[in-house]
Amino acid sequence: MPEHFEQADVRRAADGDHAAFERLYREHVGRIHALCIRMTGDDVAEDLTQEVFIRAWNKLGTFKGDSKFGTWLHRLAINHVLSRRETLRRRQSHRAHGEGILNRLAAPVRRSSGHAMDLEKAIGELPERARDVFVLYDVEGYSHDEIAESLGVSVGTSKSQLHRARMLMRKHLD
Amino acid sequence: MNRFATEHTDWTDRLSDFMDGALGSAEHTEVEDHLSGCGACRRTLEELRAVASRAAELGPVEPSRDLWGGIAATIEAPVAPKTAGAQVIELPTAGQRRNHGPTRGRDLEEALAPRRFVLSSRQLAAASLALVAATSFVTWSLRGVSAPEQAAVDPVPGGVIMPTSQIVGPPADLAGELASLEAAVLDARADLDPNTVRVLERNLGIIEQAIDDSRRALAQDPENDFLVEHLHRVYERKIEYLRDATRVAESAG
Amino acid sequence: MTSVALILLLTASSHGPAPWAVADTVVQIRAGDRVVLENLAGDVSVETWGRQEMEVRTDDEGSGISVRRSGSTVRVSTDDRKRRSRSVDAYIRLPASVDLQVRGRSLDLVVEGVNGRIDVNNVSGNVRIENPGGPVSVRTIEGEIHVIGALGGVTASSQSDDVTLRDVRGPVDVHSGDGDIVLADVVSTSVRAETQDGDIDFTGTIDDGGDYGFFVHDGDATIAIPSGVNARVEVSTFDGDFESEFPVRLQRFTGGREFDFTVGEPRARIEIQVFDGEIRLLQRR
Repeated sequence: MPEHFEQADVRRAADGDHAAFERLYREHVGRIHALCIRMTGDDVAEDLTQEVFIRAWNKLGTFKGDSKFGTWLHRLAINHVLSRRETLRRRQSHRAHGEGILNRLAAPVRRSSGHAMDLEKAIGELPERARDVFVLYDVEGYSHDEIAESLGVSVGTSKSQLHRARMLMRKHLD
Repeated sequence: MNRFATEHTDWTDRLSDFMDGALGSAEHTEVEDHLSGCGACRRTLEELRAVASRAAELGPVEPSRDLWGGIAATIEAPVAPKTAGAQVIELPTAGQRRNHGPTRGRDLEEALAPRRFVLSSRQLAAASLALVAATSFVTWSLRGVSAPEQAAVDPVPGGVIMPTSQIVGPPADLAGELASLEAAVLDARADLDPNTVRVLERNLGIIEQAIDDSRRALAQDPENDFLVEHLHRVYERKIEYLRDATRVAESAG
Repeated sequence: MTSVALILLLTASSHGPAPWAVADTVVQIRAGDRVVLENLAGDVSVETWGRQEMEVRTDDEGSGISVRRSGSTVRVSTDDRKRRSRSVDAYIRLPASVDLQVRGRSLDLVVEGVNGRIDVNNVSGNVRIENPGGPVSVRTIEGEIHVIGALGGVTASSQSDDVTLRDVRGPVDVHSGDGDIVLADVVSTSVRAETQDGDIDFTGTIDDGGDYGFFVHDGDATIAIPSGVNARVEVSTFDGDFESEFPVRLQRFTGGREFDFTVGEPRARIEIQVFDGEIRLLQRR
């Protein structure tokens, strides 16, 4: 979406225009949902994605336009995922026990190729901290300084967790 | 772990920082020297690079179901846009503009900043044919000036831009050929190897994106001759791609 | 990979029979002959020599490559369907005067010095053509295209990758779907370049009576031309900036984002259309 269309939609959405916000949702949902899946796993990713957009709607008034809307939304998503995923996992675990195992095994429809899905699966198997850093650094392109600040760890820890993740991911190369 | 293995792990542990350019120059050189004599570390480095490269290629993942319904049900009832009819998009200032031009150009642009033209479409329309820019270096920003003005007086109810698919279809002179080629490619798909299908689909995706961009633009500015011509050209390119696909399928079949 | 393979091939050829050249075929070539390479996959290098014959060397005795003549057409192909998916490196030498037609699936191709018409249709792989004397046409789905030192014009399209032309004369018509187009040192009265997602960089002459068109959907167009140029410049953009190192005297406005102006006298036509990106008209130094 050309940038000025998006800027106009952000203004409209901030003024209460649902249709404009839906366009923003459709434009960004893939990237936000991907972030949620990679940082939390499939079980809670869709709930988190919904929550991120509801939170974004509520906070649109605070978006100053200093950065692109996508960048602002992405940072909001990271913070939301980090603060909410444990709660949602517990809730999902209870729900899954009640509803049976088949619901949990239902495969989501994805746009990614089989090649990419193998990598996605491998990311899901990483230890959580290594996975967080790997997703934010290698997939999303954040710096160690930014990651350290988001995760509340030192830059050194961010670097060592990234290396750990990459070393573990090697065995999933073709 | 024996001493050799421990020492080697010390080298290995620095490879991620090495490939990310995060080592100091002395340490970087030290690792470089080690790599020149250590095949195992070179292999590890290649693998780490491959991992990072594959990760960087990962794209969006759509949810398995449309989440919008749940979001729409949660957010508050719509209110009338307060600024309808007064949408203005800020023009970039000289300092904000992307500029990949030569240094001389940038310097000149800075020097000429007060005289730099930033014209809206109305200003442009009002300008006469005699308007002369006599400077030796001229920069005009035409970035998205009239689009919101157009949108503000959009006849579509509520000021909402109509879904573009309802506004502009393929040009009439190309629609027939497009339809038959699309059908032919669908038929021929089975003759193509999966990798070729993946590449063709990706390339057609770029064309579809260009078509979608152009349609959105036309929805806002239906009288724009350039956009009509541009959209036609992209459709012609789509026809070329579909012909390529049938050609590949014929040679594979 | 192509360049490495090429170096190996050239080294081998200059030091007697190469160890990989296990299957040699030599056929006579007559004036007016057309050579067709088809159903090949792998690294293929084509060079010219002073003999009126074509030599085909491959790295694989069981490659299944055959050479057949039918009238004035000489075909080099893999006929065995089972073998078509196998990658074969081939090194071909032929007279410079032939017309060359290549139909490849997954082919890294280098052609050097052919003076006849060159027509390449590839699916994936990089194509590099150096010093062609006649017209060149290259079409590929995936892979970079480089044409260097062409004298008879170039038509080139890559759906996925960059297209680069250097030191080229004659009509130019190039397209990239998802890559940059570099047109360096072009001398032509007819240039057309189009990319959906990438930049166009042009340096070259603008000749009287010439027609030069640059079309970008998402990317920048940078056109660097001599200071003494005589041309009418037609600029259209939907969402972008325009900057010029030439004095601009506007002659037409339509719709706010289309305008024309003339540099010197209107003896040539330069059309620059960018949907979303920057347009730069620079003086070549």
